[in-house]
Amino acid sequence: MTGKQQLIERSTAPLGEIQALLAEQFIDAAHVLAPNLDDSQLGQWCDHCMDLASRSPRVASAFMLAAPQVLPYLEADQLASWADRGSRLCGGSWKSIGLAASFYEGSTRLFALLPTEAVFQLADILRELSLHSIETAARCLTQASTLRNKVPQEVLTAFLDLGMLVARNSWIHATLLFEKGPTQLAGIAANTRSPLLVLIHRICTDTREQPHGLLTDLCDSLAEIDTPEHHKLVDLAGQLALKNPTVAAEFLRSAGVVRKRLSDLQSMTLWLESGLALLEVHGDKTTQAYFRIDSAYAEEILSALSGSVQFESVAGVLQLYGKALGGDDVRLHITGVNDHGRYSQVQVDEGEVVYLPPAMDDFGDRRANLQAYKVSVAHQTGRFTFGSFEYRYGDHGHYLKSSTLLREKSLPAGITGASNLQRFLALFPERLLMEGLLALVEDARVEVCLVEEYPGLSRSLRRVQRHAVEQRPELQTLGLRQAFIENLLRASLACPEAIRWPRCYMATLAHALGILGIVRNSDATVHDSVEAAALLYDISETIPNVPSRLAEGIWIPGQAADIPYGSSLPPVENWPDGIEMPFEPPPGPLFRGEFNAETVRSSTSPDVGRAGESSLDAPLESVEEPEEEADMEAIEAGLDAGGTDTEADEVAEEESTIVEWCYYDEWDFRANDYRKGWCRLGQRPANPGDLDYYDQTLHRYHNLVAETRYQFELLRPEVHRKLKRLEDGHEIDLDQAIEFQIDKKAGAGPSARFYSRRDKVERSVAVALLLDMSGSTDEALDAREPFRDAVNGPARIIDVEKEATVLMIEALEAIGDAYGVYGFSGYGRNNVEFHVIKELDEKLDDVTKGRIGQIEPRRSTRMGAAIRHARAKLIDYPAKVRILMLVSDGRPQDLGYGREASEREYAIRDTRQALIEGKVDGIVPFLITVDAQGHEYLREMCQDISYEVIADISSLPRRLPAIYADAAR
Amino acid sequence: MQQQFRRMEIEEFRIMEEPYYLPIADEVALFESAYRQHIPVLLKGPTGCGKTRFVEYMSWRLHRHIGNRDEEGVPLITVACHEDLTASDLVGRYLLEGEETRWIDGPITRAVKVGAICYLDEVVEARKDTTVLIHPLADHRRMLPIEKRGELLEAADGFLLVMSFNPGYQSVLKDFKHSTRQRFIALEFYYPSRDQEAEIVQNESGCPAPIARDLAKLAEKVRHLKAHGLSEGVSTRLLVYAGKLVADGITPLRACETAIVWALTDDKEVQGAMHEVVDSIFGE
Repeated sequence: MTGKQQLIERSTAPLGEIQALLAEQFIDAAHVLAPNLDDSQLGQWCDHCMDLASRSPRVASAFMLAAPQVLPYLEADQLASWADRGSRLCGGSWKSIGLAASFYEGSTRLFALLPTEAVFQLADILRELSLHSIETAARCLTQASTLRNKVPQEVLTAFLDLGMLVARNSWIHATLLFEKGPTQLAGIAANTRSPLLVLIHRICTDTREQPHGLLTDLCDSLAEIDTPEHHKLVDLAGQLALKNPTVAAEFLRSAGVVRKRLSDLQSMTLWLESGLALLEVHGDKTTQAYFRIDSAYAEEILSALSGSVQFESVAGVLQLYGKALGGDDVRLHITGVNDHGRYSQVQVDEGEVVYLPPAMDDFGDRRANLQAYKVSVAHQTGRFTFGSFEYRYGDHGHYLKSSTLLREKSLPAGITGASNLQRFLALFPERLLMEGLLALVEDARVEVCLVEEYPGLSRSLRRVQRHAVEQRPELQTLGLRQAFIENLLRASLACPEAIRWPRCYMATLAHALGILGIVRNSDATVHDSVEAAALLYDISETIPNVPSRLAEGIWIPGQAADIPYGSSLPPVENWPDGIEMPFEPPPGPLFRGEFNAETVRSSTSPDVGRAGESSLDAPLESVEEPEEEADMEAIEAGLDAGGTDTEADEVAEEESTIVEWCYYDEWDFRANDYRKGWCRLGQRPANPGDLDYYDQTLHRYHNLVAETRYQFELLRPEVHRKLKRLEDGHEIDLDQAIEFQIDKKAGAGPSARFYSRRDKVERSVAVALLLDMSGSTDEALDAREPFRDAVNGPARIIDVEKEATVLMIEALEAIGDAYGVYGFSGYGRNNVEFHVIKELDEKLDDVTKGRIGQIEPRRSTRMGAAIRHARAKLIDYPAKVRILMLVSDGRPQDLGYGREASEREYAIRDTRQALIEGKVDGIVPFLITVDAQGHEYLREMCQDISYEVIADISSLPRRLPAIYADAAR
Repeated sequence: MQQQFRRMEIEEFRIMEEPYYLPIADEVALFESAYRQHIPVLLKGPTGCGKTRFVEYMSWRLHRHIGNRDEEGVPLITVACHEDLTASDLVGRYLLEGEETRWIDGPITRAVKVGAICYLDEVVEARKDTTVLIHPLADHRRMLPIEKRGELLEAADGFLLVMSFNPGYQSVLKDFKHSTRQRFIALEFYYPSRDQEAEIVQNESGCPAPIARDLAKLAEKVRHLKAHGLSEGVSTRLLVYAGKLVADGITPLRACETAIVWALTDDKEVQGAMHEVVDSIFGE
């Protein structure tokens, strides 16, 4: 008996005692393995069998069955490594037994698909995962067999290295990595996948970044960039990672967005170099903000490097440009583009809305992109100035007579419409077709007018038209009718060279182009456009929307349309049945905006006597609220800052009452820069109320009111001031006159300044009183505070604020200073509430008095945005002295007011920055807090800005006017 | 050294050559009627829209057509009002001359005496007590009291009081007393239509007609910016300046930039918007 046989027999008996089947499986496997292993290797294998059988017959069985099958894939000495790795998965629990058994069972397939080392790496990952979650390990094992197809061999090691890091640092994301990672990597250039994974590994090893999250972010970012550039960018990030891995991560995260704005890779390098310079001077926080494009400096550099133009950077100029061209009512509306190539969030209202994209990067240089914005504004305002909405039903054009009477006859029912244009459109059964035609014809007319009215824009218009044509869909992929209209659209863009149409039907197109040419006359009107569109509609109706490939013959350029080719199209009935494609008019170029008959202004409503019919109940597109999503995110984030579900409902409810949204920057002290347009502030009038509260407060404090009024009246300056030594005036100053005579006699060249005059002197002070309406002002002043009355319960901080406001108002009325009263609160950066109780230029009346009683505690305290808004109001008000008084009950805090959910230092620094901005503009800020602990943060927040802590809250009504009197003296 | 200027007493000033004026509506007929009927006239309108030119034109025209009362025409006495303008500045004052005092007539007294058109330009700039002084002159009495001399002057037949102001300055408008307002008929001036303004600019500046048309078009656009950064729209006068620069060889872009964009505002954003409008019209 050989040594090998002895080894086999020695193990068979014990195995048979555990399970007879095991012994049989062992013998079968051993006989296959024995010739391929030396004695020692076979002995090791037998030991593994014994060990596994003692722990789990199931695992041992799987191992013994798999061993002969994996042998072809392994070196003899690797068998023990494989056995050992599987064995380590078997921890004793039934779940781990299942995992180990699955590993052995699947090993043959894994070895067939993956390199040996990769399988071993995988087993190590499974072992690490099994320490946290055997289910996760099992799911990853299942996914592993698909890696072969999804992850190229050369990337596999790096991928599994990252897998091990995930298993160690964030095991919960391991399944995601195995499930989605390969797909995410597929979007990356083949030569960059491995370096990217290595880079992510390095970044995540050095930082607390979550590897799969970073992989997702970076793959998403790189997916926005052409693959040939991936390698260079990852290489740049790799160099950056040597200096600071976190910054490198931010660089790649924003690379997709940045690359879109920059014209070439060279600019990307310059962008990176600017960041590096920042890193050396200002450190990593500022640089991270820079690469996140979360700072004004980043925007500045991007603008300088980029040919693209962000609307935000030219908003002021473009708004005014739009108004100059189109008049006072023009409003610019920024919106994205939906899947149909049209502007999303199109509003249906009566304003003259111009739709623009958030950024313009169609052309290489900045000036050309700005010109493209201008062309878009000019075109869309042109509809208003060149009479697109001045259509009157039944009127004739200069070139074409009205066909309304004729068309009405062919319709069975009466024609109705909310406007003249809608009434006309209702004459056409295929309304979508007619709307599309009308838009393109009228746009062609408007562009002719544009060239005439703004010759300086004509070159830019031409460039924009050409670019628009380059973006048009391939003609032969469209239905025949769509292709016909697409050709008309290209002609309307003054690019006949882009027309392609079947040679044999060219006569039809030539006829249509002739009709379109009518509106190219400079004196054509909207009535000509409408009738031309109607004629084109008649032609289009005869063209079935069959696949273009069915159109016979070759397609030729439209410039040859003047050559009498072929004939008209065959009648519709001659085409085969059931092959028509669904028809949708091709969307117009974006720069032309939306020519929507539903948005026609009320001035074009049909004359009631003339139409005599009710309005058309045409469905209006629903208006999407762009901000809603952001609000919902904030609410869903669940980071409760005192808000509840009911409050979330209130937020939604109040959307309807908001009168004005403003956006303000916020100071990020770590970045040492502003976050541009970070806060959205909604200004709304405070709720109306009755006079009871105001009157009761005056009654309660009648002594104090009288005293304060008196003190303030003393502050009022004298109405007239006497000016002396004037050459002219109301009175002669006797002393000066005598002196003058004496000088004259003496021949001393007297000055005839002996008149005096009384001039009116006006006090020119404006104050904005800003009240904290945060939820914390709902707290009772003191548990010992006696009940104010049975109805109102104990006095709260907000009650004292309100009483102080009433007294302050009385005092201000006495002195005659301009004053505004505002309250602020909010929830998150997207919903800073600004309640107007009284505007600076508003008179105190019953309405404003009534609002004070309705001031109630609300949500959080995002002071910075509220201060900036009050500052804007003060700046606009003509006064020599401007004061901002902020009354609060605690430090600023709000959801997301900082890097963390609510961060003390960030909020305090932003508030301080807002106050400094006010000071720079000549505003005198003054902070008053009723928080006894206020010194602690006010000292940091105010520094050289005046503040007062009122420890005894109940003294606020007395102190507030006194503080003001000192400040405004 | 040869004298390069002409000196004359203010009541001797007459418009002898026809000033260019393009009637916009029936303002000429209305003014003539008011003159015949001795009704004072208030000219309202934004700065640079032609109020002063209209008065000059009417002064010349009255000389030509109904100036038979005075062979040499109707004198025109213009007073530019300002906030320090006093009653003495208008009526006259005593001056010391040696040991004596001598009375000097103010411009309004001179106009009353010679039967001139007395044009108080931007009258709301003057103090309220000053404008009250003209009340007896501006109603049926046509009398000017000179308190310091204890005299009452009855206006000569050709005398007419004409005032102008710009209602754009709202805060000042509040100071314009109704007792003053309701002694005048008011002619409202606004910027002319595009075609009329082009004609004016071409005539006044001598620039080519297409440039004048484009300047008028530009003015129309820029005037939309009133209350959006501009407190006043661009005046016809500034357009004429731009036209003159062009006629003298300056490029239209540069002429508009200096005569319109920079002249109208210091606000960089508004300047930027106006520059883009100029570029849209005159750019290449």
